Amino acid sequence: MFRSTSPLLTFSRSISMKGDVHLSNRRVMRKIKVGKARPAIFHQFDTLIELSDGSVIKRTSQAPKDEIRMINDQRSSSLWNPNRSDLVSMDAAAADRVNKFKQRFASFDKFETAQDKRIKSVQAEEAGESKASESDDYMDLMGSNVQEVQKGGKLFNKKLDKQKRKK
Amino acid sequence: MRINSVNASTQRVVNQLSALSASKKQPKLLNLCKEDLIKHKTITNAWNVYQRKVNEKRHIQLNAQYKSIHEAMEDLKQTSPQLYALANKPEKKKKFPLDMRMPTDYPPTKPWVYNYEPSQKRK
Amino acid sequence: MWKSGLRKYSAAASSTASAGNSTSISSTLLLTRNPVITADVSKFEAQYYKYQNELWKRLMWTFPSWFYYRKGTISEQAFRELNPGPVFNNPNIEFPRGRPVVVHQRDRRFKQELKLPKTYKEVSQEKKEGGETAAEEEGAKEDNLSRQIVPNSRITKADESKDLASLERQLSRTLYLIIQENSKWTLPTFKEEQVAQGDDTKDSSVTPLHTLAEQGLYKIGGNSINYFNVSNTPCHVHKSESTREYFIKSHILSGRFVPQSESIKFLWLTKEELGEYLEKDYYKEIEHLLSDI
Repeated sequence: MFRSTSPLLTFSRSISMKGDVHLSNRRVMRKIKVGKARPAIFHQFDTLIELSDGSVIKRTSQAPKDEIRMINDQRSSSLWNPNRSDLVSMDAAAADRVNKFKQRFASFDKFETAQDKRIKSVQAEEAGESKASESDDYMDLMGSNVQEVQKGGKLFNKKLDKQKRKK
Repeated sequence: MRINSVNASTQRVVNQLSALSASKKQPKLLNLCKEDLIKHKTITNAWNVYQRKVNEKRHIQLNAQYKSIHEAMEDLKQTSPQLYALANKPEKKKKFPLDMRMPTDYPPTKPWVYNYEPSQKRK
Repeated sequence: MWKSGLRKYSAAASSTASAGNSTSISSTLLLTRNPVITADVSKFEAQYYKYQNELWKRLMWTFPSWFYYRKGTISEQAFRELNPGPVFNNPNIEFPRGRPVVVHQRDRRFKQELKLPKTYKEVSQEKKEGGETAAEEEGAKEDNLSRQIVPNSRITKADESKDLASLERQLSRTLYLIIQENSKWTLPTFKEEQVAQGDDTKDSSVTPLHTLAEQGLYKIGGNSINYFNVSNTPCHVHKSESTREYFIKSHILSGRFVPQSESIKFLWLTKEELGEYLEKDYYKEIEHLLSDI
C-alpha cells in the first residue's frame, strides 16, 4: 500500500539550520470585524485518568488519549504518605520493553557473565600473576606497584595559568 | 510537490500553526431559531436562579458559623481567660497534612487507609 | 469583626474576666471524615451540565489529527480506520436535511465525534500473534499497565450492608463521629478537670481545648487515628447554666476508631442521619456547623 503511493509522500528530511523558517508571504492575518470574534475552542477528548491507588478522575484533554494510567503519583509516593507502611510502589522500570526483555532472558545473561568470568580467570592464570579464584579483584591482577590513573583531562586552573604566563 | 518545496523546519512551523489557528477548523456559527433561543434563555435563567439559591444558603451558613465562633470566643474569655489565651495562640509551625486527599470521581480500590502507625514524634 | 474576635489575649483581660469559676468546661470533638469522592450532582445539575457539554462539543474546532498523528505512521492508520470521514458533498445526491459542509474530514454543521485507538486491544493482538498461552495472558492482565480502565463503583460494600460504623460508607458525603456511652448518642465530649482550682494556676496546668479533645479521643478511640486539628479556636459553644461545651473541629485522615472499652459504641453518620440520632434541640443548635456535602 505504501509502495503504490508517490515518492513525494515519503519523508523528505532536508537538513536545515535551526530557526531556518520561510513562511510564504501569502499568509496574511485576516482582519476580524467588530462583533465577529469567536473564542478558540480546541477539540477536547473526555479522558479517564487512573491514579496509582485505583481511583479515577474524569478530565478533558486536547491530546488524543482517552485513558491515562499513572504509575507513580501522590497516592503511592512515600513522600506524600509519611504514615503508611503498606505502600507497594510500582516499579516504573518494570513496564518498559527493555526490562521486559531482560526479565525474559535473564538466564542467558547469567550464562554470559559466567563465561566472561571464566575467560578472565584463564587470562589471569596465563599471566602468572595469581592462581586465585574468580573472586579476586582487579587491583590484585595488576600487580604490586599500581597507581590509579586519573580519569578525564586536567582541569583549567586560572592561577597556575597566570603564573605560567609571568614566567 | 508542496512537501518538497519547503524545508523541514518550515513545514514543522506550518504544521504547528495549522493546529493553533482557527482557519478551516472552526465549525459553523450556531444559529438558533427563536424557539431554541427562548429555550436556551430559560435554561440559563433557571441555572442562575438555582445558583443564587445555593450561594444564599452557603452565605447564611458561613455567617452562622462565624457568629458561633465569635460567640464561643467571647464566652471563653468570660469563663476562662487562660483557655482563651491558649485558644488564641498563633499556630506558627502548623502544616497542612500531607495525607489529606482531594476527592476523585471514582473511589480507590481500597477506599480507606486503615493501617496507620503513629510516628515516634507524637507524644 | 474578625480582629475583635481573635484579638490576642492581654493582661487586662485576665483581671476583668473572672466570672465563671464554678462552671465546668468541656470540649466536644466534631470529628469528620471528608468525602473521598466528588459530590453527587442533582438531577437538574446533571441535565444542565449535559446541555452545556453538548453545546461545547458543537462549538469545538476540528481535531487536528495531522498534528498528533504523522502521515504514514501506524498510529495514523489506526486512527483513520476508526474514524471514516463523513459523506462528502456529492452533487449527484440529494440531501433533504441540507448539504454537508466537509472541511478536514468534519462536517462543519455538527459536532465531531472521534474514536481513539485503544492500548489494550493492540496488546491482546500482539499476544495472539506471539502465540502465548491463555493462562499467561490472564496473569499478565492484572499487572498489565495498558489494560482498560474500569472505575470502581461509587457505592461500596459498607453502603450495601448498611454498616453505619464503617468509614467506607457514603464516600461522597462528610461523615461525623458520634458515640454512645450511657444509652444516649452524643458527640464525643471530654471534661476539663483542673479549671475549678481557680485563676492562680499557671498556664501549664490548664489543658488547651484542642489538646483536651485530642487526649480524650485517643483515650476512647485508641491510638491508631491519624487526625488533623483544624484550629485551636473553638467553633461553637453549647451553653447551659453551669456547663460550657466548646466545639473543636478536626478531620480523620487515616486509621480507624477502635473503642477502648466495651461500653462505647460509635457510628459514622452524615448530616441528615445525625438529626435522627441526636436530640432535636441540640441538633438544631449545631446544624450550621455540619456540611451539606
